[in-house]
Amino acid sequence: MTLQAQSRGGGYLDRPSPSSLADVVEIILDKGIVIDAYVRVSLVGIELLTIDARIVIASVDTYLRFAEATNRLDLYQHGGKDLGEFIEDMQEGGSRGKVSGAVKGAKKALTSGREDDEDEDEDEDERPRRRRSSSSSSRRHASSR
Amino acid sequence: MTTTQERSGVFVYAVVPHSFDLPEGLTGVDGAPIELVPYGAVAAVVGPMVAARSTGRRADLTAYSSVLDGLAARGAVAPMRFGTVVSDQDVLVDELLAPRMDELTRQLRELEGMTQYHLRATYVEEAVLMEITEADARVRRLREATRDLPEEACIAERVRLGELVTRSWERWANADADRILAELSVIVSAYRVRREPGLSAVMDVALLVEVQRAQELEDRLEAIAAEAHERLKFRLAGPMAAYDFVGSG
Repeated sequence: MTLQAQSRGGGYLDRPSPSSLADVVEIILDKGIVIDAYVRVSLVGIELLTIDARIVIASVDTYLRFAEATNRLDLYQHGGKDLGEFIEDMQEGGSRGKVSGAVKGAKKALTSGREDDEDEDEDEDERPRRRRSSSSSSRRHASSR
Repeated sequence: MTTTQERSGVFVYAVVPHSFDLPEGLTGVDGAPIELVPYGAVAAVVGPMVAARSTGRRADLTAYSSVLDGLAARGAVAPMRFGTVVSDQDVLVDELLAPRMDELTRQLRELEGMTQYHLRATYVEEAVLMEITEADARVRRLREATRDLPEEACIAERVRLGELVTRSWERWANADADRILAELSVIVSAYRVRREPGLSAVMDVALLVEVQRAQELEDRLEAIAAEAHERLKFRLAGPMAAYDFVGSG
């Protein structure tokens, strides 16, 4: 098993080969057959801190972050700023003391999304959830310490 | 490994059909060899471990994962949840294999010849924001009203703008996910939505597909990804054991 994701094949479909640790954590951690707790000698005591590093963004910060991104679109000329410049701009803005709280929140969201390949960047804000017939239960990474 | 008699436990990786052909040389947690505990029509795949310690270590997860990968390459396998350790093999038979043999046998029959993939799709942010802005006059108006003002001068309008944009984003994510799943449903045998479409991901689904159709699925996804590449990015992991299609939850 390879811990670093390596894309295989060409084209636009990203194929981690076979799977990065982040993928493994994401995909298999809370899956599989469960037996009753009382017969288990132990079930985890999970030290995989990566799963606890999820960032919860307040709704307002999320809205401001999307508003900011929308405002930065160049509607008439494609190819606006990339995310890196965006973050730098926001850092400048923050250092000038403008609405630093919101900026910090958005920046945190952005940088974490960027560095962690978006795997840790889950918005846990309450949004309307739709039911699906074949939906599995919502995933929960309770680290049962 | 078995230095302290009471401390040793049995790490349970999976349940497989009784006749399963275990890959040679496959080792699991702590580098220990794995073995079968047969019972009736099924067998548990187990390995020894020192039960006194926590099983949540990174090395344990990768060991577990590679055992499951090795098993999945050989046939039907029903993964146990990571970290399942019992005190001895009798407990395993009494509490899992004997009482749930019918259910396990049925699940393994359903998984015969099947493999799982995990598909994740995310939006290309700028492209989708562009689409949303072009489609919604209110977004364009609020954008014009706020973009040249300092943020603190129009917080309410910006929040409203962001709210409109995120709502559209979520609605579009749902529509795109539905469309792609409909396209895939002619190939896959089953799917499980792991996370509803939203701001962080358009799709996060496990797909169960016949091994013979795996290539067809990969090809179709490659085509979908190529066609949508300006606005959607796809990541496909697998083939892997059918983690999402066993157990009740």
